[in-house]
Amino acid sequence: MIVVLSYDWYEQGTDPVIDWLIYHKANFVKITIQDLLNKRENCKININTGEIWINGKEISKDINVIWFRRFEDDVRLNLSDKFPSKQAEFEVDHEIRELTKFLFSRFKEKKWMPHYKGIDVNKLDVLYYANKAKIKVPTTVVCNNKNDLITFFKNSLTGIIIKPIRHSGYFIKEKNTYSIYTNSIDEKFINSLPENFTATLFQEKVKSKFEIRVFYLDGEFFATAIIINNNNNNTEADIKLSFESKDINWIPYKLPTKYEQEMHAFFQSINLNTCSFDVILTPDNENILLEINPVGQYSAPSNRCNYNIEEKIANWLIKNDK
Amino acid sequence: MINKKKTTIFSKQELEELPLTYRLMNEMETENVGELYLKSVFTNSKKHYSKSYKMYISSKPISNYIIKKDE
Repeated sequence: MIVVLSYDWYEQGTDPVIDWLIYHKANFVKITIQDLLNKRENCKININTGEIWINGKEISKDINVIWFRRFEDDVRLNLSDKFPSKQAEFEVDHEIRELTKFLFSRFKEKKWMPHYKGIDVNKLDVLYYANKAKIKVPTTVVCNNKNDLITFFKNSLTGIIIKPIRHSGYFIKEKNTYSIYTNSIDEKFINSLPENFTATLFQEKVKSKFEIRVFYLDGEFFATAIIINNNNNNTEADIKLSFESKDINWIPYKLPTKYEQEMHAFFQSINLNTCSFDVILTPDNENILLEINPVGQYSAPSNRCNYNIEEKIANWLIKNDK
Repeated sequence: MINKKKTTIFSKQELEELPLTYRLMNEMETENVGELYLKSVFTNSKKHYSKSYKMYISSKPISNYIIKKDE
């Protein structure tokens, strides 16, 4: 049996894969956080025996493969954001994370996608371990003071950017939505800062011919070159902000075989059997790894480059359900 | 979307407690945020609506057209 661990709401990557599982009549069950929290399905996990009962049926013995798709990412409780509900919600969130950890250890012998040991890999881990593995990454610092920032800025000939260490979501405020992406910063911005500030990630800006977004699945690479046809250098530091531009082109792309081999070995070393990752191709034809997301999105490159990634994920799950 | 002016929704006092990234936010109209599609649906066809799969994305590259509710 395939178990899909996800959440109830719209999730662009999950549902098309489930369509393929249904099409292939795969033996699967989707369990969401809301199944547990909203008391909608009768769920019981016998912690002593490790049995999992869903609506009166024990499924743990049938499980062969687990697709972990943002299971604990979106816990929504019908509570106010004031005391004491705010604190209770914070605690419930941690309860769910403890439960998730138990599921990782309970099913550690099963096939996971991504592997449970790789799910929590973060930007800083990736940059540190990639650098150790001789994979080129941008120079990056996290600092909390103007002096170190000015030194870093002066040493970075191509300029610097800031971005969240983990992730920032959408701040929806009625008609408008606010978000934080990668931003270039300049001397004027730096001069406006106080001597000390909350620790922030700074990275050397990488000169780019174009950016490549890649979905990796158990040794296979599905790469998309994002080519912007404008000569006025009027491009955002974060390419995501140019996705609506009419000047953008999504081209199927083949990474150099040697680079694929290096990345495959690197992913194995950090326990990742799937992920999305972003690479910059420099004017000197060097590939610079920007970041990795173990549960990244793939619908856009899948559709635009005809990769049918959703079907390939479904096929992988079905193949490993034995 | 190119080079839109940056803004923030946090007060000066709040910004002092937050990483610098919160000083440079992008403002977009909510219904135009592709990943949310709060006010747009992909189709009016009833067969694509079920309890479980309200939002449907075809895995085939047919088009990027969406149909807004007010159309």
